[in-house]
Parts: sequence; structure tokens; C-alpha cells
Amino acid sequence: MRNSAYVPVQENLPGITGLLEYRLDTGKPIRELTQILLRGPSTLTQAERELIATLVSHRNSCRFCTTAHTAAAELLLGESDTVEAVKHNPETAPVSPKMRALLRIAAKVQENGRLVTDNDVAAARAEGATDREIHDTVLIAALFCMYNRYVDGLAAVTPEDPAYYRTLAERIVHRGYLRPEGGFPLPSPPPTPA
Amino acid sequence: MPHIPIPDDLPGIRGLMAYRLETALPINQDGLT
Repeated sequence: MRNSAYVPVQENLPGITGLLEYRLDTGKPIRELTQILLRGPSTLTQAERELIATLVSHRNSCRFCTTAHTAAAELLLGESDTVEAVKHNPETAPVSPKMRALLRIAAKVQENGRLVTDNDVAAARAEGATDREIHDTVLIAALFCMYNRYVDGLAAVTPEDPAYYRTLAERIVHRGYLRPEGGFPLPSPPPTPA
Repeated sequence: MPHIPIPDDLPGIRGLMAYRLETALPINQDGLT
């Protein structure tokens, strides 16, 4: 495992967090867009939106994003079976028919947006999906494709410790995706030699 | 034809921006369009 990204980031901020802090002017709108899409008012639940993020990240083989959003979805759902089933096969996962149709659209966006057909959209509408839900599904899928490539293209550090992702999930579920007021703590200084 | 109803006079990404102004705002801050 690499222990450093291709650009200098705070060592105590692995994954996307360090990259968003590396360039605050690009980090700010990215965070704001994520907050609106994943935590803002929506007829899709926060867990459903995290499932879209997880499926796309999983299919892009982005380990950091997949593990982080798996943890967030599990925390929101209160169980882990659903998110594992979605990653394994959304067609048989225990989600609503509407959600299954939206996940099918998200999976196509992950591969190539032009694969989404009129029939895919009609199928989602037939299960009750609104235009806004279809719009947001596509934009969440597109946003996470960007995130996945951003994280892996700069070799952002991916922690191995599951506890890291549980803590991260607590933060993004309960406090959202915006930068904490005052930023993040600086890394601890190395111990002074005696 | 677009999959969702967007203004006829705004092709491409501009119509999508007009469809959902809340998400358009940070995307435009990012200088992507």
C-alpha cells in the first residue's frame, strides 16, 4: 500500500479529505455539491443516495470511496446486508423497485452516460421515479466517477483500519460533507528526542 | 431528446444547469462551464 499521495497532503487526512484540503478553492464547490446531492432535501432517502455513491465507487474499483460510503450507508440503514447486496448485484438487492431502476441508471452512467436509454428512464418512471430523482441519480453517479478518479489518480492514501471508516461515516452522516468550521486539526508533531 | 424536461433553448449542460439551480451553483463555482 502507498503511504503518500502524488501531491503533498496533510498526513492525518487520508483519501479525499486531504485532496479537498490541498486545494480549498476547488474543494469548496465539490463539498457543496456533495452536500446538496447527498444530504439536501430529496424524496430519495440519504441511505438510498449513499447506495448510489457506493455502487458507482465499487464499480470504479475505488477502495477508499467504496469503503467510506459503504460505512455511511450501513450507518444510515442500521444493517450491512443491503449495501453488500447492492454491490454484489443491484438487480437482486432488497431495495424498492424504484431504487432498483435508479441503480440500473447509475450503473450505466458509471460505465458511459450514453448507455442510459429511454427505456431505462421509462422503467424508472413506471416505478414512480420523478424527473428530479432521475436527475439526481445521474448527477450523483457522475460526481462519484469524478471523486473516484480524483482519489485514485492522485494515489490518495487508503487506510486499512475499519475504525477509520466508521469514524468517517459518523462525520459524514451526522455532520455532512461541508468542511468543518475552522478546518481540520493539524497532524501531531513528531515526538521531541529526549 | 433529453431524458428529463429541460428548456428547449438551452442545449447541453446549460439546460441541465437551469433544471436544478441548487446543484448548478457549485458546479459553476468550479469553473467547469
